[in-house]
Amino acid sequence: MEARNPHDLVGEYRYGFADEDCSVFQTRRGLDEDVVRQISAIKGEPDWMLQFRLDALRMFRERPMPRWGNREILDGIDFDRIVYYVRPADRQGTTWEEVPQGIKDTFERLGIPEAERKFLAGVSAQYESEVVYHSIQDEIEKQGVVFLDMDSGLREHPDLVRRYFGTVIPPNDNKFASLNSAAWSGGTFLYVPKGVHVKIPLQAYFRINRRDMGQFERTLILADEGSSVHYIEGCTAPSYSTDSLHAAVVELIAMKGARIRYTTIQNWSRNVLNLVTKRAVAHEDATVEWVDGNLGSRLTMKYPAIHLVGPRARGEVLSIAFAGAGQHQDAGAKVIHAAPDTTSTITSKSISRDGGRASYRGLVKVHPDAHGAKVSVKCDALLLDEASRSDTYPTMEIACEDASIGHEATVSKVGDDQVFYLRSRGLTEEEATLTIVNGFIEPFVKELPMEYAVELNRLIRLEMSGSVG
Amino acid sequence: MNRFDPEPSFLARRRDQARAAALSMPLPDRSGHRFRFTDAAALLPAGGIEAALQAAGAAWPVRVELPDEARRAGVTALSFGEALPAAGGLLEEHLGRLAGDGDPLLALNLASFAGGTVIRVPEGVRLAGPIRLEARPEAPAGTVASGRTLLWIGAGAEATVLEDADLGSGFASTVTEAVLGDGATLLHARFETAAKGTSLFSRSAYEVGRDASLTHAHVLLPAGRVKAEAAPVLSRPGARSAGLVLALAGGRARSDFRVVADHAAGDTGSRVDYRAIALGRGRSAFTGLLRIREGAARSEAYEEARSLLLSRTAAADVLPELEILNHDVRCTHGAAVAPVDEEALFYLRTRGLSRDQAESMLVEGFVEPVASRLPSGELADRARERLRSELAAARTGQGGAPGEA
Repeated sequence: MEARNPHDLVGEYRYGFADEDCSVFQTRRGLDEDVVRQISAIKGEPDWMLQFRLDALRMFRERPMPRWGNREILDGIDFDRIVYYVRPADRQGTTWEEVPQGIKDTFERLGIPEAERKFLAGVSAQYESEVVYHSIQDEIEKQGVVFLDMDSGLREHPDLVRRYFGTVIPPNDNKFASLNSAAWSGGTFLYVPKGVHVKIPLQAYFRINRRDMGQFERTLILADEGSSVHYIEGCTAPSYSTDSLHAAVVELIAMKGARIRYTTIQNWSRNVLNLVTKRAVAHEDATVEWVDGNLGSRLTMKYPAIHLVGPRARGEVLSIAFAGAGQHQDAGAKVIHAAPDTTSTITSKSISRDGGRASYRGLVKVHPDAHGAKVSVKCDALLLDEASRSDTYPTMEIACEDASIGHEATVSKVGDDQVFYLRSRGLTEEEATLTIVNGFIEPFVKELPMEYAVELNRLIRLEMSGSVG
Repeated sequence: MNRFDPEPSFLARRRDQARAAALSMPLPDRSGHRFRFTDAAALLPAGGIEAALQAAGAAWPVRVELPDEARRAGVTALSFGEALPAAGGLLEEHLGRLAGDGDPLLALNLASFAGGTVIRVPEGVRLAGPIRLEARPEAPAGTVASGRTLLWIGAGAEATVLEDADLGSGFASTVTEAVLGDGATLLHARFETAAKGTSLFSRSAYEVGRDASLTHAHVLLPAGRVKAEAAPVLSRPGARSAGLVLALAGGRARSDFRVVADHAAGDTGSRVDYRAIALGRGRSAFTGLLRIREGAARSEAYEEARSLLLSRTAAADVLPELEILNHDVRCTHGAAVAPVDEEALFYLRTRGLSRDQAESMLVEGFVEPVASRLPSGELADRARERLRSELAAARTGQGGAPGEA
């Protein structure tokens, strides 16, 4: 590859483009009670949701900025410069043909339609703040699965939404959860009825397409007793010069014996601040898996959590982070064992290069009654050059005598002997490094559906281009 | 306020600065990992820093045992009162330099310490026997008994310093600063106990010179609360440090150990082995940071933290951290919390041991990988004996009898 300068990467960044703005309506910059009321009124929400938003707004204002993580960047956020709501089209498309041409072009360039036609059941593509395209295969509808954008979910299933919305992540959980609760728009509402197994992964692509515009998706996934579902979230965003804030809230509830896998491949452009709260509750015999890939963005702070509240519940978090020039990936995982015989596994891989910083920040907590709980945590970091940085901050709070907790972490560079071996086999140094990096993240990649694995490998190759020379 | 007579101007100045620092900074909170598991306010009497600064500090009497061979070789072990006129230059250069006054607790100690020991081991002197320092402070209500130790180990010298701090009442703070010259070897071991209802804060700050080798051992046996910190700085290439930590928290005891191994130069190595046992309503905590600075290439760091819980109401907190700013390194940490192996327990019981006996044997096996690494056999035996007696005491609900086994 010819690009040796990391700055060239931005030019080469193939998903970094912006369409002409065709939004129909947007709120003024900043967030206050009027703006919140306006958002709620446009959506025609019930009173309780307006009240929920207003309470959250108060919490957001009262709560100080977190005093950990990347304080320099966090303290630099100007909440008054952000547009909190943009509505791109007057109505939602129900088929691909009905989606406006400009927006469709954007998706064409992202390569979504091919992926969708070949592999996917429903595509829920978030373009700016609202889902513009949404299709569900007949088969899934017949099974009684509800797969809607969050706004439609609130309209069509008010009781379900009211019962579970904000129960896993209360609006006062953290500053960015409060912000999301006040200003949320779009996201996914997914309900899988008792005993239903959704065989095909459901997925939503979303992207930010407006300078300084915040995205505050709100996703709620409810898997009823004995059901199972795999949800995939993929993100690409255009490159912009001023920071864009992304503060999503994702709540998962796995009822007795249910299984949820939530896969994210995140690839925000290098100016996005991605401050996301993701948390799942797993009841008796339920399984929740977060598969989380963090590429892109300027700062990511994301720690997918699983609360194992029922006996024999199982949790797994599998994540990779890639931090390039000017990037800080502060990612990790949290698992709370609150019931007996619960098990969890956390596997985290990070790669830093060109002065990037990757941090693992984790929490494992075992309550006194979580007898027989078993936890295994493994964090590996790869540093590709001397300017890069890796941090590991795994907290373990264990209050149960017969719990077993194991944690391991290593930080190392690409081995000279490994590179030498591969070069002796005819690979260039660059190819050799890429091969080693691919091997390093293999445990993650093999968990992805095929087309995502292909895309991730492409992205890693792109990120790695010019890394040695 | 003068603690020593005469108190030279450099010390008065440093105390004033520390006093101002103590009053101007907030207490460290949970957001910094150093105080993730201990409330800093719990290390201070009611009224906090201000009251503690106001109160006339409690005395810090130290019993010093300096072997004859050391005396003959020119090693000195002086109280601060003696050292200030005699070794003023050494003190002026190093006192407070390593531990600093970067937070109210450290600043309070520097501003108000009332006793302690200054040990100087001349260059090239190799000592076989240990130098012992024993402090048994009693702090009256409202005060923090504060003491300091300064160890200066000359280039190529070799020494063992055993420090005991046994807090009988109230609040205490003890800070040790150790400077290891090029090629020096130091074994510094601390035994720390705090009676029920008392709180002891300690910090051991080390500067390890070129090709110098530090072993720092910490045995924490609180009935009350001990917050102990070790901070080796590997300041020159070839510097090595090895931390060996044993902690036992029974009754309602709190043991919190913090280590920061700071690789400030390349070609340095550090290692930390931690083993803790919590029983009764005891709680053991560990936060350990391996930090590799930008220029510290070819460094190796290793950290292992294991905790054993012996009762339903005990708890263990562990936070092993890595901050790596150089790619040409090898850093590994591992942590585990596990119960006593039921199968091993069953096997021992089939051999006729009572449950307590079997458990004690397994606990001894659990600490042995650290105990056996203690370079002095005497030290290892003492650690084993103390653990055994504290374990027995904790079991019978006495909450850990202070004093020698």
